[in-house]
Amino acid sequence: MPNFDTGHYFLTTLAPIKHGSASDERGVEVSHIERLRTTLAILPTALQSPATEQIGINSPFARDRHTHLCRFMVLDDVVYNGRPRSDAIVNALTGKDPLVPQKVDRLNCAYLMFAADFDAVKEEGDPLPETLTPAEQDAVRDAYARRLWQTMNLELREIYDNCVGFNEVSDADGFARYLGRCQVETTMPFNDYWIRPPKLHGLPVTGLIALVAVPALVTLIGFLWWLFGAPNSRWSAGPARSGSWPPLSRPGSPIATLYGMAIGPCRRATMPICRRCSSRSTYSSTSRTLRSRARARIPRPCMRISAHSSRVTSRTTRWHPASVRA
Amino acid sequence: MTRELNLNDIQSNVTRAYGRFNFPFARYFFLHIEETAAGRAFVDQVREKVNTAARWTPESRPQVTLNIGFTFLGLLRLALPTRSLQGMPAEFIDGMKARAFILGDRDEGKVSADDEGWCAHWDPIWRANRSGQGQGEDVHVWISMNAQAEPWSDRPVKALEAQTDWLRERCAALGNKVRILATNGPNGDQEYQAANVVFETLPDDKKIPTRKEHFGFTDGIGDPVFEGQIPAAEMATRVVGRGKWMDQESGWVPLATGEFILGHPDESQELPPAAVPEDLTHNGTFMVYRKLHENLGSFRQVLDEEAARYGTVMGVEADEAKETLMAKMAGRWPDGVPLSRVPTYEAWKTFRETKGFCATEPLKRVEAYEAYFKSIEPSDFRYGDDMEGIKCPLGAHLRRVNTRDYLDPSNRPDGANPAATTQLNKRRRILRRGLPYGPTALGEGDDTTEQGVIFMAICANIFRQFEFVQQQWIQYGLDFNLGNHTCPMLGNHTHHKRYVIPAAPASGKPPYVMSNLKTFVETRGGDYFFVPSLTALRLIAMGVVDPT
Repeated sequence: MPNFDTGHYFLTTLAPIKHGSASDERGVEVSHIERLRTTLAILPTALQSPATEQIGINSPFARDRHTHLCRFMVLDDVVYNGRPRSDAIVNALTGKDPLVPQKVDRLNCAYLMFAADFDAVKEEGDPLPETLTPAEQDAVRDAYARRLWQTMNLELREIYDNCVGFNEVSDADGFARYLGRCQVETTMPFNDYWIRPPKLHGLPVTGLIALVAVPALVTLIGFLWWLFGAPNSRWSAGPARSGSWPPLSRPGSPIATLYGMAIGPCRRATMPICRRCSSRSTYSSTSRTLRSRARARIPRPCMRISAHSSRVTSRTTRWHPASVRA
Repeated sequence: MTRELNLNDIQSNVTRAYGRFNFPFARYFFLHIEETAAGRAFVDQVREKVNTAARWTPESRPQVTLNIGFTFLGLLRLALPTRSLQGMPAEFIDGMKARAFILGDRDEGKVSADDEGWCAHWDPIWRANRSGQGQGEDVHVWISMNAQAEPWSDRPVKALEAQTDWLRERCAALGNKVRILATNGPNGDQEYQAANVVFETLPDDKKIPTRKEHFGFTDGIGDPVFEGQIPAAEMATRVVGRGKWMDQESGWVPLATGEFILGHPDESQELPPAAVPEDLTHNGTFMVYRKLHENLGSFRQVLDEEAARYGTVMGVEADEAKETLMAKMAGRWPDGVPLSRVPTYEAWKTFRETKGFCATEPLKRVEAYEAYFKSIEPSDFRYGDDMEGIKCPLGAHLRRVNTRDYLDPSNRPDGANPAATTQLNKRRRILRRGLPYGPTALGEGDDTTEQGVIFMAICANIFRQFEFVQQQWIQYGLDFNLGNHTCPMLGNHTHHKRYVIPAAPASGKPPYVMSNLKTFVETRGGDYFFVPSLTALRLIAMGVVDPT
């Protein structure tokens, strides 16, 4: 797609600017580069902003309705980035003297760049083509150049008069040939227009979702498994006893910890006082009390947690006597 | 690939020392811009007349030239974008007055509180400039006009006054929103700073320009030469002693363009730092303007006293003593012949006879001089074979301001080094673009009379090039193993008054120490200017400098 892409032509040309000087409109001898820059500086731009609208003089490119965007630029030279980095030790070993200046890449002269994208049609009203052979592309480019010449040859003469070889141009065909000679094959136009929505290579959404969803699901299942445990599983935490529930509310187990974090503080306020031990301890302290009493074979004084959660209470109740018995 | 410079875009004073092109007169105008719009309109009108570096033909050679530069305050008043202004070098933003300590223009032995009147001897225009009070007196624009002389006279062509009138009219037409600061001169009553070379009067009363300045030295020899400055056909001879010495095989080669013009690779093999946009600085450069007053009375008095002592010590006649001392201070004999090539008084006398400098017919003498200065001889020498300064003293003015191969790291203090190069000197070069000011003839002035040199230096980096040379090599002596000794001619001798002249061991004579130097050259004002390209002048005039 270098120069042509879905109905649009992307033209880039570089015209060498003459060396030396010429007389400008004031009769002052100036360099061709400066003469050209001055001409471009006062070339009207399109009426696209309040400032330009106030001027009221439209861009000459507006006379042909096929131009989307175009730009002139004086390319004076390539930018010199300095001497390439090198290792001082390698230089010393290979005898390279960094004091000897290296060759500096420079353009042989300054260039006038003209870049434009326009409808790739030969005649007004032609439909935008989806494909064009190289020869057809050149024909479209030449047709565009001829249209420019027909609509703004005075401005083009003033501009290109500063360029090498333009003195041979006298008509529209000559200008088309001149632009063709100056053309640079482009590699990646930025095309924002489409004849029909193209078949773009979309992202593999299903695969990406699977890539994310499967591990997430496995993680979730594992978490639930870890949270609630699996009956009769050898993998469950705590003392695995045949025929018994996992030690879900055992002190330190996940659900007990979560529970303690979630409701422990409010329970401190509502916890009834034990009639036998007169304590108002938390669940965990109760558990510690239970464990110590169990170790001392002291009967359970009370079961305080039942006031808050029937589910936990039932499991705790189921576990607790066994634990005490043990 | 060698790329030819766009000479039509570069101002003429960058590539040409007008004095050497038979423009013996100059007027330097300093202007103040009241309003941005008027300033831009002024620049737009002036740029039509600005002379460029394009090669002259006999037909295109102007009678009067015009060049323009701006101080930082001028660019600020012309409303350049902040991003462009902040990209300008610090020393340019500061201006010369703020750099007085670095330049040796202030007494380093005093604190500011004890030195409030430090620039009281400056011309009023420069005292008022950047004073922070009455900002209507700040210098914004420098305009120079250099003029040819009427044939065989010491008067400028009439076109100089005509162009001056044109400038006055431009200011008047703008309602003096751009006005000439007419406070030049010691009394602040001159519209411009006039400058002119010293003329010699022939027996038939014809006047011919000379290369002398008011102390009697021959000046303006050996300016640097850079790539693209002069036609290739002339480069082979012009570059000798004025470019950089690479090695025996390459010999002298021109300095990189970027040492003197922005936007081109320099001697460090990179583009010199410059403000954006590139179009604003490309083909532009910086210029130092300094009015250097010469204390003729002090110079003569010290020279006479030292010559008498030198004659006694060395056993030579008064004339020989005086001319030898002048040569040892400058590094060249008063006629410009370098000590490094012709080291002794006897050899110099013989040399002058050989070259025809002593011809009785004045015009033949002048022709002989011109032939000599167009040859490679006045510049073709190095110091690697004179590390002890027997021929040319280590602290001589010439040796300080252009050290050539003297600072090569492989040099030894006591022996010749044929392999020495100018690598440590090539980043410290400046293009000198000044003229003497004062009477048109070498006169009998004293410390109070108005004479001296309008010194203008052009370089891509004022800090690295001009200020370094001024601070480290003129006002200090450590690089020459001379401690605090300053340049015998240009140095500030308020505290350091000595100058050592080594003697050849074979002569059996001791080294001679001048011990009572006075400050012979004093600054009377100046500033730093940006000298834009023709492209940049248009951008400034149109107000379209766009750093984005």
